[in-house]
Amino acid sequence: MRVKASFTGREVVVSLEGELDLRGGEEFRQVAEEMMREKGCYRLVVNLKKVTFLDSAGIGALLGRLRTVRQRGGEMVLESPSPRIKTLLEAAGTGKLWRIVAGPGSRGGG
Amino acid sequence: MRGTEGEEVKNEVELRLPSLPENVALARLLVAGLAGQLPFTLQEMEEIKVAVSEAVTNCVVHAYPDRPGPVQVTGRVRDGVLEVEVEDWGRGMEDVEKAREPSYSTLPDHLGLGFAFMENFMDGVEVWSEPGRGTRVRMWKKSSK
Repeated sequence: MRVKASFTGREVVVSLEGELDLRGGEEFRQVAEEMMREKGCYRLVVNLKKVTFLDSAGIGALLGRLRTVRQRGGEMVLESPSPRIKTLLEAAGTGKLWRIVAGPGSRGGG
Repeated sequence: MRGTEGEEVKNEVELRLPSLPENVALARLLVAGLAGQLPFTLQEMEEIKVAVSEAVTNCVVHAYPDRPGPVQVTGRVRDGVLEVEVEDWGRGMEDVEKAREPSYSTLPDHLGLGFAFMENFMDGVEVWSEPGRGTRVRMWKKSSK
């Protein structure tokens, strides 16, 4: 899994490419937690556009970061999931936990 | 639905691998390759990959929590049905029915959705487990075409 992270203001954007499973989830966890620790963060945006596979371990990794962001009083946005990935997130009953947006243009300010 | 024991096996693959996180992808690729020999839709192929991923992830996380141990993945095609077995010789479970309940998890960072996903995405799932002896999951799916 390729994990790219950037930040602007107090928004951390993590873009994932590949398979978000047990291993990919751990790689995502390490990068996202380090970025949030270093930069401070009130919003974590996770771009899922290039995620080709997701299972419950990957969803668990996303939920773990949601926990971190909320502990800091912030929010988490999932961006550009494919229809298949979005269906899996909803099947896991997590659809209402975070905002899912179609793309960077829909992210909104804050 | 019961399994398909007794039918002629058309093809079979076996993979024995240590329970490392990176091997979860290897296991689902092997089974997806075999499933490609049946007329599954793209969505069904994705569902099979998720189900295999859940079973093997359970081996990595739960069966061998301290150090990697052996996992055997067997895929079979018989009578138009894909059958997958994932077996470990790890910690095992006291209460299989409890483990199969959605959102039941013994670990805080895990969702407890592994068996729910397997059951949702396959036509049938059977689980045998014994504490200290290991766990065997057998699941099957028939293509809708």
